[in-house]
Amino acid sequence: MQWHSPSYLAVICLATMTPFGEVCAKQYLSVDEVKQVMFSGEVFTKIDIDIPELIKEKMRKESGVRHGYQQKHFWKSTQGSWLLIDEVVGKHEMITYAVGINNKGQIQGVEILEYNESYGEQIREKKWLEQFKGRGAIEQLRFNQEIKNITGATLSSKHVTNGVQRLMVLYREYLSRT
Amino acid sequence: MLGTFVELWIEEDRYTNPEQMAFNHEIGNVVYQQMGKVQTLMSSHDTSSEIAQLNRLSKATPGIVCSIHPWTYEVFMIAQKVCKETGGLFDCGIGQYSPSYPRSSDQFQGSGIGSIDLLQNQQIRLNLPVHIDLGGIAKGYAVDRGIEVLKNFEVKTALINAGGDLRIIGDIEQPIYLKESLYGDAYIYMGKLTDGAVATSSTRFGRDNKKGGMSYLIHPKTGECIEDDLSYSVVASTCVVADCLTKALAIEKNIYAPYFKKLGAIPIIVE
Repeated sequence: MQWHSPSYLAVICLATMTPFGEVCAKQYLSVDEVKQVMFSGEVFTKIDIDIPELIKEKMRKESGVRHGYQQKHFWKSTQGSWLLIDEVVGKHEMITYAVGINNKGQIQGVEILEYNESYGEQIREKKWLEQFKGRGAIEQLRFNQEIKNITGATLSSKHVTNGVQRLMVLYREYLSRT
Repeated sequence: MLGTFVELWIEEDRYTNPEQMAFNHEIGNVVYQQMGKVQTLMSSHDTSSEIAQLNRLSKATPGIVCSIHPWTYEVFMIAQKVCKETGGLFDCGIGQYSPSYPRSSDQFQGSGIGSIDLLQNQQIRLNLPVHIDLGGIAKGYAVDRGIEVLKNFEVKTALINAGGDLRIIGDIEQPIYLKESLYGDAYIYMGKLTDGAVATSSTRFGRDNKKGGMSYLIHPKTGECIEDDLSYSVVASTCVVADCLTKALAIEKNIYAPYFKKLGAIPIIVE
């Protein structure tokens, strides 16, 4: 018998053993795993970029995410796809998420990598995340319009929607031109 | 079959010509026939099954010695072993606590799978009135019986999946996903399995709606239903052991319990 499980499952196991109601850090996917999930077969290189303040300001204005953008690591594939990792506040804690953008500038996928709150993790539902798929960098992603709300996870779904919007602004205004 | 859908997959290179395909079809029929036989013997819902008869006999004539089918005997042997290793956390002799069973009296006091003596020549002694319910072990055993059929036909690579209790043989890596909710279409990737089994019990799906949505997972010592909305999976070399151990995992929620290592199993709890 052989069994190979991803490392995040062990974290889930431990998370379940904490008392009910406590905040549990749950990592669902690693960066390597999310590359495979979104862009199976594509080879990515990690690139470090300092995003100019002017771009950051545009990102903040267009997305409404006030929490400062601090990421410097990005992944680009030989085919021209991008993988961007970011975090936004859910209700009280941070949600780490990934946005894959294909070489046509469309969203290939959105995945939740880490979720640190006891409630509202319905944002990991495939059906909800798939609303982002195929949307282009010039499109607006407005919560409750293009992207539907999730009852019981309103804040998490709103903030992730805004977070995806800010990464698409980053792509449109800066990464697609580099 | 077995209260669920049963899926059989046989290695692709055996589908080379019509003759081979016809033979595969025959093998499949034998697999389903053997798995169906497990259900006929061991269903506690079917009043004519061997288990239902044993339950009636134990109440009518405690202490009776009876001959049983070798498969039922084998399941009792495995059940007693796992019951002992888990300190009684897995016990398939406490069916009186099931939501689908009318709680009647204290006649089952002190009984459980351990109150049955396994004698020689597939004979057993029913020492006390007992309500055996093999719902937590028979499906895994049926999958193992199906795999035995495939091995006898010299099938090298195959998979049998009975509603999430599955076993795979051969040199392939099978990705295993866990359904997150009954009605959604989200899945959690759990890992890759080669030549082994995985079983899952969940308090999310297994509920008796007639009894107000009570969970089928029951603590054998207190009779209380496990109500926590989690999924419990166990990877093991045989499906029957994996199936049993999911119940101990659901009750104790201890992935470090020594019986997993002792029985060569890997526990996984998923929220």
